[in-house]
Amino acid sequence: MSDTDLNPADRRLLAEVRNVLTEVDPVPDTVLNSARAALTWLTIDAELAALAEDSALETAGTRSAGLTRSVTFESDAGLLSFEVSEDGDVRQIVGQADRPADLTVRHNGDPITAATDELGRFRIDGVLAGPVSLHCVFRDTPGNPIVTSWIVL
Amino acid sequence: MDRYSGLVWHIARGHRLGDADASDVAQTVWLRLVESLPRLREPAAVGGWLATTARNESLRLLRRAGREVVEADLGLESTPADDSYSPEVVVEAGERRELVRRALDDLSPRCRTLLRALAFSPDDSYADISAALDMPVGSIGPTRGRCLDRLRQGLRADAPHLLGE
Repeated sequence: MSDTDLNPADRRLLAEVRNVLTEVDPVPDTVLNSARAALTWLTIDAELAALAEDSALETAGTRSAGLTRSVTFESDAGLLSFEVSEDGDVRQIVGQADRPADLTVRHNGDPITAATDELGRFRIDGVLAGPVSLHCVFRDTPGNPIVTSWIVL
Repeated sequence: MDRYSGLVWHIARGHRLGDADASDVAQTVWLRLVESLPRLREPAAVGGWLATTARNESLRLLRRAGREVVEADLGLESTPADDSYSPEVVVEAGERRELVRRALDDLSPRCRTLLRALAFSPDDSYADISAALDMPVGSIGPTRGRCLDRLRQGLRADAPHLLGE
């Protein structure tokens, strides 16, 4: 696929599409600002934990208040599973790390910190709907934290 | 990022996501890009990466919401247009914009998304984005050409002057 197989008429048509959409469906300022702000979220000290399971993709049930969703993130350094319950624009996260850890939730509000109990269990209230990522420092390996890939909760 | 903000937004909108969902997709895509920067081996391929990620996140949100996305994934057939634009916007936008908008809306989700994305692709990323979204269907040939033809057909009836014909 190369650029050269677009003929001038195709280019004109796409330019027209662009002009029209720029007028009737412009990118909101909030989206532009969040794109620029994303750079400040870069965490370079932590290993990325990829999404391994997401119950929302397995069931075709419609979303409703009180529906519980479970997700699992894993990396070589550790594992993090949690369930998400919804109440309007607020999410509650209840879950378990594979060993005791200190957590920081990155979301559209101020970061929320939480500590797991000695079994790795945790509960975090007040997470705002939207992109969410958890930064997790294990107490036995504090020099090797993980951070979950961003996911819309 | 400013060069690609339209691309990401319009891929989400091409999936008919509303303001809140499309904003969540866009923000998530940028955050994913940032977390992936250390692993992106070829910065020049960022356009294709963004297009693929924006499409996948849009489909994820549709699945999470329990909406059927089989057609968005695979199909070329069109669906009835919804009322995602306010009457005020349509009136103000004028006839020309309304005709193009309606012709776009009448396309299949896949054509709509592809053309919206290509319209907002920077020239030097065009081939990558095209490759990321434009998968041939069977022996029919590239989707892009078919999508452009369908848009052209939709416009030809009402607004041949827009085609420069």
